[in-house]
Amino acid sequence: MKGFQVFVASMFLIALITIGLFNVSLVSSQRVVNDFTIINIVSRQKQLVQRYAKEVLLYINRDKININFLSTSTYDLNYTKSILLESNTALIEGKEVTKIFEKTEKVNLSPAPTEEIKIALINHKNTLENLFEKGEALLFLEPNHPQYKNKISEFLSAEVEAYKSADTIGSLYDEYFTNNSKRLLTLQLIITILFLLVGFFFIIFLVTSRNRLQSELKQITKEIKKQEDRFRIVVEAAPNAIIMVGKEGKITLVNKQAESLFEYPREELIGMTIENLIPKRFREKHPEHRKGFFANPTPRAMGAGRDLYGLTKNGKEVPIEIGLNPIVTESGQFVLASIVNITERKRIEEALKTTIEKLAISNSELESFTVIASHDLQEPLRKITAFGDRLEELCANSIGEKGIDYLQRMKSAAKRMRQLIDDLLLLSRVTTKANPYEKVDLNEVVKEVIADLESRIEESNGDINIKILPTINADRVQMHQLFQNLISNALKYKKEYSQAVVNIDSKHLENNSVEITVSDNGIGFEEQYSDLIFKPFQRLHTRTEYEGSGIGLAICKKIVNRHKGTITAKSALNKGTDFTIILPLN
Amino acid sequence: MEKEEEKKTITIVIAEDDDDDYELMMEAFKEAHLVNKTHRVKDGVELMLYLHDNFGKKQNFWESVLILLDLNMPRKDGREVLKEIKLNSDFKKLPIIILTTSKAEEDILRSYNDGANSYIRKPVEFGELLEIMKSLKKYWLEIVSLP
Repeated sequence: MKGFQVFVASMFLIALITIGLFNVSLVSSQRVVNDFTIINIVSRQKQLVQRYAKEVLLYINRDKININFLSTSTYDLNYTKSILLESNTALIEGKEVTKIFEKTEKVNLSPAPTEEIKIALINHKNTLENLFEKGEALLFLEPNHPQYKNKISEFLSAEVEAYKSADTIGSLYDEYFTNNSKRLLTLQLIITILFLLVGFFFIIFLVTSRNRLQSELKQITKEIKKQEDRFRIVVEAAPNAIIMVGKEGKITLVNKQAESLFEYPREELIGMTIENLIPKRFREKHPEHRKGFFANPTPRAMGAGRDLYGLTKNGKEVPIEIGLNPIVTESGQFVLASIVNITERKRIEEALKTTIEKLAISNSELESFTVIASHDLQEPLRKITAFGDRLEELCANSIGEKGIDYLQRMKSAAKRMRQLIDDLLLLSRVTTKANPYEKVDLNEVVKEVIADLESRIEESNGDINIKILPTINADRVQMHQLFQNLISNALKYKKEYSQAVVNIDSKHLENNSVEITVSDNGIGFEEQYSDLIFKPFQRLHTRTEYEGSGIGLAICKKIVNRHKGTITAKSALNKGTDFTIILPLN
Repeated sequence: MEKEEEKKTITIVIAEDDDDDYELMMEAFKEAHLVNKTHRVKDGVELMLYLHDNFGKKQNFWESVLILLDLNMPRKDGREVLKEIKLNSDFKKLPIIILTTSKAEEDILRSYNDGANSYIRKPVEFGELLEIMKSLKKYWLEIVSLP
């Protein structure tokens, strides 16, 4: 761009200089020409005079013979000759004229000039010869023509006098040529001015366009610099270490974080081969990976699934995570590596892993504890009951009525404890004895439950209405258990002397889940207990009012939670209860 | 009648580590009027010793023994010993009745799978135990033809 501009400008300058020089030379050469012309004019004048002299002669003759001849512009020799012959008054000698007259020798020129005229002419001869240079022409006039005698001599002398002064003629012609050259000069001036004007505007155009281009270039450069600055700022401000690497693995750019991560100062990092930052055991394969990246440069995480380490200046290995981004610049293809130090994250992950492992162990210990405890606790209870039976049977007489009463209370307590243990076992089995998920049609499940509860439904004069229920992915046995617990609950807590009505309905929710409601018209409970009822062994009534250990709803909650759903209860005293279950469809 | 006599000579081997349970069982036997000889072993190791000791002493040994086996016992438990007996060509015909407190489905399935002839859960009340013993006597010692 710049070269071209300089070229154009210099070409233009050269052209301009040429025009100027040409003009100067034109003007000065004009001067030269003029000088020359003046000289030339003088000699030309002489020629003209020579010719003119003939004319003069002719004029003289003409004056005598035919005055109209002067208007003829063509020098018609024959005509002149004929005039001469006719007039018979003059004889012209000289080379040229002689030639002419060679053909007209016969012409008898008479009368011969008088002596007087001859002398007059001879007296003028030198002058004429001077004038005519070589005296090529001699003039003879009719001596006997007194009419013209004086006139001729007057004319000749006057003419000769006139032409003797070359300066007068020169100035005359000078004037003419000066006028001419003035015109020429004016023309040259106009052309030059035009040239200069065009050139001026052209140069202005060039300069302005060049300036515009330059300012645009400046703007662009500024913009680029701004962007570069911005890029630099972004790179510098990035929370991650950033390293830009070229195809050959040379580091071309780093930020502060990269310096502190790898413990190298910036000057050392720039120009270093990236492999220096990789632990020796991974180093060998890296150039290959690098080539692979440049062969198909797409943004991606480096070494997905592998543990990556960076090597610091002090030889320390740092666990890192690397994101790769291809960047195309003027100087070629680069990769921008964003590096995160994951030491802290690794530590947390490890800690979390350990905690989860511990938790899993303690969970499984707890589960097996529940199972073992349940089983081992049952043993002594069974014996208490069995020996109680023996005691009652064999020793009734000796312990008396009071003793039998105590014994029975003891046995009933043992029975209740057994029930509690069984319930606890049942609750723990929601997770320990879980079945795999399958497609479960809840309509079928609820039908089965109703069939199982048939006698109880009849007993309580129950009315169970089921709307269309969905098919979901779930543990079939547990779904059965869930609805059995909810429906039997509704039957159990019905209002006295009234029919138990249970409505089961469902609707699809937006987030690919389903809401199932189980509503009854039973005794309900106060709102404040809506969370308590789902806790194991929590009861709102005495055992004498309602039997049971309070495990049913706890099991329901555990089942629903295991299916990643929620169960809530809404109720008021004597207003029935609405259980709302939200379960994912899958 | 000869067969009847033979059945009365069947020894009931009770593998039970718990004294209380053994005591209750013996009481139930008595009340059920079982007259058969009984022999108690306290774990799997003792049971195997008993079987090996008596094998050969009697002709048709496997015709003379009925085993009541508890699953949860020290040293060698019922599950292990059941497998061992049923894999032993000398003993595999011996009828084995599992009598245990375990309600686990897994135990029931595994026991039958390993060749147990019956699986009975120890009842809570004595009355139930008595009923079981009566049925046991009727079924295994009167109805069933043993090898």
